Amino acid sequence: MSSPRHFDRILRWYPKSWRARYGEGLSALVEDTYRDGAMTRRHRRTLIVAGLKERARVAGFAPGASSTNERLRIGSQLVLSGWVLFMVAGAVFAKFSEHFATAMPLAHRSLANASFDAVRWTGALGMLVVSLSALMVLPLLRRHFRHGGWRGVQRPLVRSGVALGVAAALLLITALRAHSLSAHQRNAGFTPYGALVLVSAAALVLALVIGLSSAISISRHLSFSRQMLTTLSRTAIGLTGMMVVIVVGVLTWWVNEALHAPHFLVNGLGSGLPFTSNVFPPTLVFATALMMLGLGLGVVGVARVIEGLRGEHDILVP
Amino acid sequence: MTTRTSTHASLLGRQNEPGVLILTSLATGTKHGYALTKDIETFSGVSLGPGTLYGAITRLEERGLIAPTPSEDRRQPYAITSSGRAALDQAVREMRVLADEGAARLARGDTSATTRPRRVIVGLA
Repeated sequence: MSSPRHFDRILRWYPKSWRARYGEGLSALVEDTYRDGAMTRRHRRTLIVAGLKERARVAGFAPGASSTNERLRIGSQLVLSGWVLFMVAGAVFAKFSEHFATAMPLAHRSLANASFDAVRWTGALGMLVVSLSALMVLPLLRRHFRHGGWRGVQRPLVRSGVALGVAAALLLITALRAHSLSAHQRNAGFTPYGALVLVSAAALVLALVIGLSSAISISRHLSFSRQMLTTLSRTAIGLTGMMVVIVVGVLTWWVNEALHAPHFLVNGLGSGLPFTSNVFPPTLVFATALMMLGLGLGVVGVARVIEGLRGEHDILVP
Repeated sequence: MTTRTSTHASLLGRQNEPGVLILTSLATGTKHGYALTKDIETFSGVSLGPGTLYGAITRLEERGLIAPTPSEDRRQPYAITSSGRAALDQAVREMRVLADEGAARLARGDTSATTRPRRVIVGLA
């Protein structure tokens, strides 16, 4: 049979929670099956594929969650993850597009302004919706604490609190430093300040990622009612709709700039890099790619949510 | 991995689904993984790989159709639950309706429908 070390390596393709629950049984089955010979390459491959499928299921990328409520929860989390990517991409886009109107000829300014406003106001509405959803969950968290559940959520809460605190402190230092600098120094003319901005941005992204992972981890400890899950899931569908509006707005703005003010794209934040010589500045390409990734997560999340809301599945099909 | 030994049987699809095969095997008593694969191979000619078997076991247990039973060694035995029996009963009925319909049509020698049932069956698989 295959060596235990080799099988342990294969087993690592499965998620930790799955290994804890089924690992021993699968290990015994493999031992019994390959007592007299080595595991075939084909079986090894199918075990790895099965492990990856389990990982995809746990993350919500593949259908098959145990209950309709679980599908709603996983679907909403995927949409929230997508929204976090939009927050990062939105910040990059906001910085890149600063003062774009001044570069745009007056005759073509209305469409650029309209698409930019659509991005801005939809983003603000999305943030409001996410904040209200978080407020909706707060009473559940309070109840969880009252019933002695503090220990289970203590680590993710403290972790995200520290990350947020560090990011806020760095942003505050950056803002205070910016006041004493000229416009030229603030815009890549003073290297120490540029480095501080980059560190602050990295800290903010890290805080967002840690905050998201903590929110997902904490939500696993809370008992959501079906009604609340349905409300959160419908909110998630709305949030994905807002992502579509934002992507369309950014693309419309980009095309409009490329057609009527291409020099703005070339001279924006993305300029100066060796591969920036056209209307595809890396900064904007990066922001749009993040948005597309976020939208992809949102669409998969909505698919899980719809499965959960319909409550339909073939009980015997794995 | 599922190895099918009967091409005619595989056209029906549903009867070779790992979930149906596991429930059918457990209908006669509690079994662990290795015993399940051997039993399934004996009665259906289908050889389930360890990854496929445990993937199906995971789904069936999550849906409350099977349940683990106490074990003295590393082998984890499973038993069919009452919901599992009901689900298997429904699946068997569905397959019986299709099998009866197929047998009746074959007996009638209804050649005009020879291409249509294949489309229906493939859709079900």
